[in-house]
Amino acid sequence: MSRSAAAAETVPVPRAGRLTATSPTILLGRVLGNAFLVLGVFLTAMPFVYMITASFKPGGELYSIPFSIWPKSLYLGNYELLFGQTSFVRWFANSVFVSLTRTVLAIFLALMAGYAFAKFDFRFKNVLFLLVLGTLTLPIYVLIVPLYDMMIQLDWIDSYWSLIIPFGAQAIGVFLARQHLLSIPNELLEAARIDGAGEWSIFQRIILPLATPVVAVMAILFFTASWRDYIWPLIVLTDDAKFTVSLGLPSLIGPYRQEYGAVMAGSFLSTVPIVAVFLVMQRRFIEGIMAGAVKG
Amino acid sequence: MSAHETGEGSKTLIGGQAVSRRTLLKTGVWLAGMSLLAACGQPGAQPSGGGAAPTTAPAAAAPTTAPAAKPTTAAAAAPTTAPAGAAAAPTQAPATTGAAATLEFWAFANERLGFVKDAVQAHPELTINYRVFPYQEMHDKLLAAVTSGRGAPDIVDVEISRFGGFLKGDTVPFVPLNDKIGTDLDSLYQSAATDPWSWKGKIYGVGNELNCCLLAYRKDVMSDLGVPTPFNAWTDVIAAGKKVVAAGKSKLFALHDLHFGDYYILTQSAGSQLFDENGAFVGDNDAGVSAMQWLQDQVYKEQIAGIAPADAQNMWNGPAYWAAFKAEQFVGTFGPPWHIGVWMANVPDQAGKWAVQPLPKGIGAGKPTASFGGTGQCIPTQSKNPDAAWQVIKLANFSKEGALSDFKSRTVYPAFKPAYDLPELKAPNAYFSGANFGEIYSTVAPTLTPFRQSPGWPDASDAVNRLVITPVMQNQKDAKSALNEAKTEIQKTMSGG
Amino acid sequence: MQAESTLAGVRPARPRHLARTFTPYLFILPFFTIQAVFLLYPVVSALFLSFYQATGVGARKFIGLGNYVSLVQDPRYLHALLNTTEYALGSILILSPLALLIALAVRSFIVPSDNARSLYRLAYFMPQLTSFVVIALMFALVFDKDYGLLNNSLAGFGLPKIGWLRETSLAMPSVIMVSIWTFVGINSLYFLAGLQNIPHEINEAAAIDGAGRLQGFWYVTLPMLRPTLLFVIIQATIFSYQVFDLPYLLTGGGPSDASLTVVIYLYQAGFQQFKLGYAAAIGYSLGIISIVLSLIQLRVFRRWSEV
Repeated sequence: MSRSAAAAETVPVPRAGRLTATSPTILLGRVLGNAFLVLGVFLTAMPFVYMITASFKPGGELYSIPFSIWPKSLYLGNYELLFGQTSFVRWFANSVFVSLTRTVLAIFLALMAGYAFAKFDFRFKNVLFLLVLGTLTLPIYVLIVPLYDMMIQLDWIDSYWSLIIPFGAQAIGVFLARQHLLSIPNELLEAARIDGAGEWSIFQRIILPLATPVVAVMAILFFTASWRDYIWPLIVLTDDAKFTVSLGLPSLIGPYRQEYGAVMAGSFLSTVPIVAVFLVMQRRFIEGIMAGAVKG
Repeated sequence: MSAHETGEGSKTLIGGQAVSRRTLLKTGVWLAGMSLLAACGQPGAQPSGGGAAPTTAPAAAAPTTAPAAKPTTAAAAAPTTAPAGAAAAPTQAPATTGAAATLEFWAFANERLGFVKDAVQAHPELTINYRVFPYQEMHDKLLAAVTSGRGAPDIVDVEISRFGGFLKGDTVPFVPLNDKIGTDLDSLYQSAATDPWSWKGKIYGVGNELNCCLLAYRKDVMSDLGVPTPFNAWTDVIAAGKKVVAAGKSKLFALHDLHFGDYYILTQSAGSQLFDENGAFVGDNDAGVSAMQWLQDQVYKEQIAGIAPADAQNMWNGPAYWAAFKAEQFVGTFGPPWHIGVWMANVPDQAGKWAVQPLPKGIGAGKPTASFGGTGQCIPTQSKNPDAAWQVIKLANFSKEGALSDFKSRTVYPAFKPAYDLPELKAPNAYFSGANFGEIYSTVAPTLTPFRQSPGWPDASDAVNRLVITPVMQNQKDAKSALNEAKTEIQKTMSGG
Repeated sequence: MQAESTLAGVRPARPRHLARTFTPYLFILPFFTIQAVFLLYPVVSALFLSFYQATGVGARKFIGLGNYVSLVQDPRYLHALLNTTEYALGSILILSPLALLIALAVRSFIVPSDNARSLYRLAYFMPQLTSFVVIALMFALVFDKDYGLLNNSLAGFGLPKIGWLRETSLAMPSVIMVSIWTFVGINSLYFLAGLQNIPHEINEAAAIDGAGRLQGFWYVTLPMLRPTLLFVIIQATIFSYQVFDLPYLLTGGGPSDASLTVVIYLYQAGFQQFKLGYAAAIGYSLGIISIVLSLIQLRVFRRWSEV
């Protein structure tokens, strides 16, 4: 069974009595489909290309006539500025630390809660779920001042705690996890219970592995949301040494001087390691999913 | 069948792969740990060789135009070592002058810290933690701090257009400085130094910039066209502009359609302000209307001006703006030193070709100058060291050393009158064809229309941008009706609507 | 699985029944603890604030529903609501279907290999990694009238230079374009994850039964995607109504409020004009609108699944 499932991922299944694997319709579909996807990739990539080439241009060249994507020559001043006059490496390390920790925490909490909402019936379930959804609907700017006040009282100003803990509970994650775990057959869980498995063991050995796709998405979502976070870290952090990349780079754009090239350089550089990790992890996830995410 | 364990509880299986989750978690923790180590490494540890600007303090790297490698003085100390410590004032008893104190100083531009650092250099007992945040957000932080009653710094740079908001409500969250300033008030050009941070007779902040506006133009272009300079009246300027346009390459002015600055400058030259002594909006009076209408006419009727390249992040100037001037699409402008002065950095190849003069006559009262912009240092009431904080402000703003330092680093002309005796401030400026800015400014400064601050300033500037500047400069409305509309809205919001 | 054999038999009374009653609460406890500790105070505090006129530092005057009454009569608020709804519609009607299309395409036979699949995933993930400030910077450069990538490329085709972010009629559509660019990736990832839950055998079975590709999608795949669809639509709605960073950074809400969104207006009222009570009311009005819309969507989806 798994063999054909694996095969189904990559090779079109011959449909009995209809289309064959090499029919012109399929080929046309392939061409058009790929064209569509490639166009999407191109449109997505263009601004990035622009950003990367901008990082090799001196400030004046960014806005110049005649227009040119490519830099006149490889200008390294922006990178020198970035490494020589800012705490860029420190910012990057801070970002990684904060984002990773927050992500791991958020995934666990969201999975557990999502599981409960998906697979259990309990009193207040609907009310609580609506509450979860409800918290998503208030814009951060409404909550920022009282939340800031709390951070001061806890003495968490200028500390990573204020970046990690309050946002460890990600309602969107609970919602996402619930939707996913809904499709796990109840019989699976019942059988395990009858077998004598404890609830935590069920969670660990049945739910977790089956939740791999949603964990992957949550990881991306939480990590990138934390990476990008701007206004909250700005409100609670004062020490430059604790700034994240997303906080530090915009500070290169001030009322008297705008170092766009350096911002682009920093943004480009900070995505490179993340992308590398993403590619490596993707392999793993894909292998995992490919090999056996088949439910019986 | 799929994910059923095969015994060892520590491993989770996904099909045949006995790895995914654990290894991922381990990798994640390892990465987190590594970066934790990196992040918690020696405070102030600098990447690569950059010993240049002190980066433990301000966040931004934007180098000051002064020699950047100023050694960190005791003033620009290491970040607070207290783990997860509250950012606010230290635990020492309130300091008196001369006693040691640690102060928190918030600013939105690194460039504005240079002269402070220089001024306090001789006072190692004052330890100042300089924090720089982006312009908008620094004021947001300040608001959060004063509203919640906690976390405000000891000294904060409040920009002129953001100060008004803090005057709303029952209490002004800044310490009144009248007594502290005392008779020294006479040594300042009050219009620039204290009026903008004053309300109902109390002074809450001190600014150090004398932002007198002047007209600047390409002298070489004018002489090529046979235009006599300097200009006496705006009508002469317009005539010159027509010749410029006729030459085919450039327009004269780049007028802004996203920011109220041009209108504000000309309104003052016409003899008025945006607000009266009671904080009511009067920008729609004759002076304001004539100023605004004049601006629209230059673009659409006289056609000697174009719309300045700008966007939401760079409403006044920015890379696109400088590119336009570099490409000689425009050959004239008017504004304060922080506007004209940066020509030297941004359009260096036109050195020696520009000239400056006071504003010409012809709009309203025809005053030779106006004031635009500025930042004042204020002491939040939450500060536990107001006296030490005042000492810093006094050293920075009431001294020739402070004035000279800011002049050298930002070409800022001080609001501190005695500084104009300094030879550096009397030196001719080569970029602007030998103009003696110091002399010009000190001559025109006394004619400044007194500045009127108002709690409605943020409401007004925003309303004017939206309802007046953009529609009028995009030729969708005339100045009078737009200003009337703005006035109605401003009155509504100011009365609590 | 041997377990099945005992199903029919007598089930011994186990203490696990009790454990099972408590289990869900234990599972949601960590999440709700953090929410209760950190969100309860701000949420309630903001609610109370919305009933006060709290302008500037100090003064607080209780005015009941006064802020809300002003809101519904405030032309700027209503204009912002209209703009935000336009944005939300763009998100639901353009962004989400596009993301679904991409997810389907990436997962299907169209993509020949897993490497290509990885590449596509990466491409769509990249915008998610970039902070809004940088995205706005990039697109300010792309959209710039004279110096931008877009206009200069279009000029190659003889088209005129357009002020994308400077014309009142184009500002919001340009913001929507940037938003699509930014968010299509993560939404495709949502759909991809959802599609991964649907075993291929079901589609094979349908195909063997004679169903065409389109029918297979409509009658088999789509219904099984329902939970994911619900998620995508609801979160698209909720987050669209809260949109702030992109329009604020790209246009500041202008020109002349052309791209003013509700949260931009909230920010201006609260942090620039210091009308904190009014700002809180704006925030809560948004919350109410989002919850109502979400409830409607939940109901619609429930109906759909019952059909």
